[in-house]
Amino acid sequence: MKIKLLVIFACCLWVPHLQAADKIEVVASNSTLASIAGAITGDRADIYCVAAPNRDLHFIEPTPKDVMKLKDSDVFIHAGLDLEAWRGPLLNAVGRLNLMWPAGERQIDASRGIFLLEVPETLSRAEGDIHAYGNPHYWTDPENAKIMARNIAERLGELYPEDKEQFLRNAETFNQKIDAKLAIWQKQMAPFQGAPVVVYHNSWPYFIRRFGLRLVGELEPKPGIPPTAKHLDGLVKMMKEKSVKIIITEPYREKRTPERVAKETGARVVTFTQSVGAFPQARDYFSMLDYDIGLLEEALGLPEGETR
Amino acid sequence: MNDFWFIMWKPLAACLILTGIHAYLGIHVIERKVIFVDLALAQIAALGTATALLFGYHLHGQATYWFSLSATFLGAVIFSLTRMKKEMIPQEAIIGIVYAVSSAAAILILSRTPQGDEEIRQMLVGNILLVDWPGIVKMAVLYALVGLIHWRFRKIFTLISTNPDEAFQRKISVRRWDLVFYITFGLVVTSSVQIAGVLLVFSFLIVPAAGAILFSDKISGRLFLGWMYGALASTVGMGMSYYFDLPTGATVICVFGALLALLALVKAVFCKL
Repeated sequence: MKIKLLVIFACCLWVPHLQAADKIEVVASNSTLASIAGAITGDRADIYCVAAPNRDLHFIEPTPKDVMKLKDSDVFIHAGLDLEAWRGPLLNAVGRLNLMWPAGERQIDASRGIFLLEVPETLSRAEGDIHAYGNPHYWTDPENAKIMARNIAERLGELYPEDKEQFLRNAETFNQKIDAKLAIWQKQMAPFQGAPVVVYHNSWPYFIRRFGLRLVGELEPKPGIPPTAKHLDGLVKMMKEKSVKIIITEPYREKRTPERVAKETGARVVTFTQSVGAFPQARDYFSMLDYDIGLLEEALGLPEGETR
Repeated sequence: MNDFWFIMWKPLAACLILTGIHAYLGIHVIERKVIFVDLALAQIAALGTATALLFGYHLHGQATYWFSLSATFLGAVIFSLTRMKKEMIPQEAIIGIVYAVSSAAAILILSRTPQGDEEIRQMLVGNILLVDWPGIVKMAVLYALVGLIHWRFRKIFTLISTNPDEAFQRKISVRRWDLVFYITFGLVVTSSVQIAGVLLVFSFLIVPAAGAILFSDKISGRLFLGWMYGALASTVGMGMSYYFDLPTGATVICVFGALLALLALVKAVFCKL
């Protein structure tokens, strides 16, 4: 009797494992990567995401579940570069060499082959850039999302040759949809070419470049340094001179400073997201950019000072 | 269960090592009524790091380490000099002032460094869950050395902490010993903070010692109870963090607090507080 129970118990423990073993266990460092990876793997993979979408990707505190998922994962997809500062310690805790950047064979660096902006000319920290490799917020440019999709599909295809074709096909579908959507987005933005914008933190250069906007200032005097009185004073004057209408911020930043500057200059604060899932409207990569561009279109389209 | 041990045994080992030295130092800190001295020293160390960045040194470089260590020693000097035989300003006030001023100074300095404060902020929020082997070994060796010094001179340290008046009367050079105390203390705290973060280190220092004081008035008894307390709370905290997937450090701190409330209740009911 005891043995029989034990066997049944053991089976209960085993069955879900067997089912799970069919699927590729993918861990993605952030929700945008998870979403793109989902588009490529379809139902071939279970995808787990480490960083919650409404948080600043610089400051994520991994939990025990994150460590466990990563330990048992088949593939780790991450943003590369040095945006996710917590990634190194997390991988050290997991201790699997094949997930380690840059040489591990089961990690996929989505940033491979992307043309990076703001790469420091000298690599000395004293010259002063937090991001030694260049600005890491690259996926706000849809053209870069295409490279990322291809990176993920190709590397997954190397690891799972039997699914290679399917992955590449899915990436191609994803990229065609990007091309179609990009044409629409660019049409939406066409009336606003060269419009000057101010950002809270320098996390939108790729978006700004792609859609023909002009970055004229940042609320932060330096990345990560809270806005100072003198800096804001100069910024407000400049914004009035150039009649800047837009301040781009993100959901996890304090709202008082952008709102104050907006009040003094007649500009409008738009809260963008570059993480899929940060807002219910941003369900996937496409609806995320729909959301951001919709906000911008609406804010730029209205006469100065008028609110929605 | 295997997963549990795989993920949690390193943080648990780190917690037990932290308990070992902090429960002991906490007894001194409570006796001396300098409760927040660890926060002040951690902040001074961060100020040292910020200064190193201002001079263009790398955040994780040797030079930066020495800057932060020197800053900690400076803090130790301040706290040993401000202990008066008849105090005009309570030392707790000085600790608060040092904390506030060094936090503010760090902000000023960082606004002049090219780098911003993103990485230095992480100095003060270390994540115990992600502690690695070299970190654990370094910690164990350093704390064993500090423990040895305190064991060798336990009579003097205990006397100064529990009965400073008598120490002054016996012509013991209290300030010099205070300097030794704060230097060793600063060494411990600054390295723990980088691994576990300020909040967790504060809890390891104060809560087990406070719980132990409820049930014993001898140093050895308190030390034993403090160790039991820290080990128990750490283990329960690790378990809860794992099973409910909660941030590890914060979970352990809340367990520390809950256990203290429980012990106070027990004491009130059975020992007529």
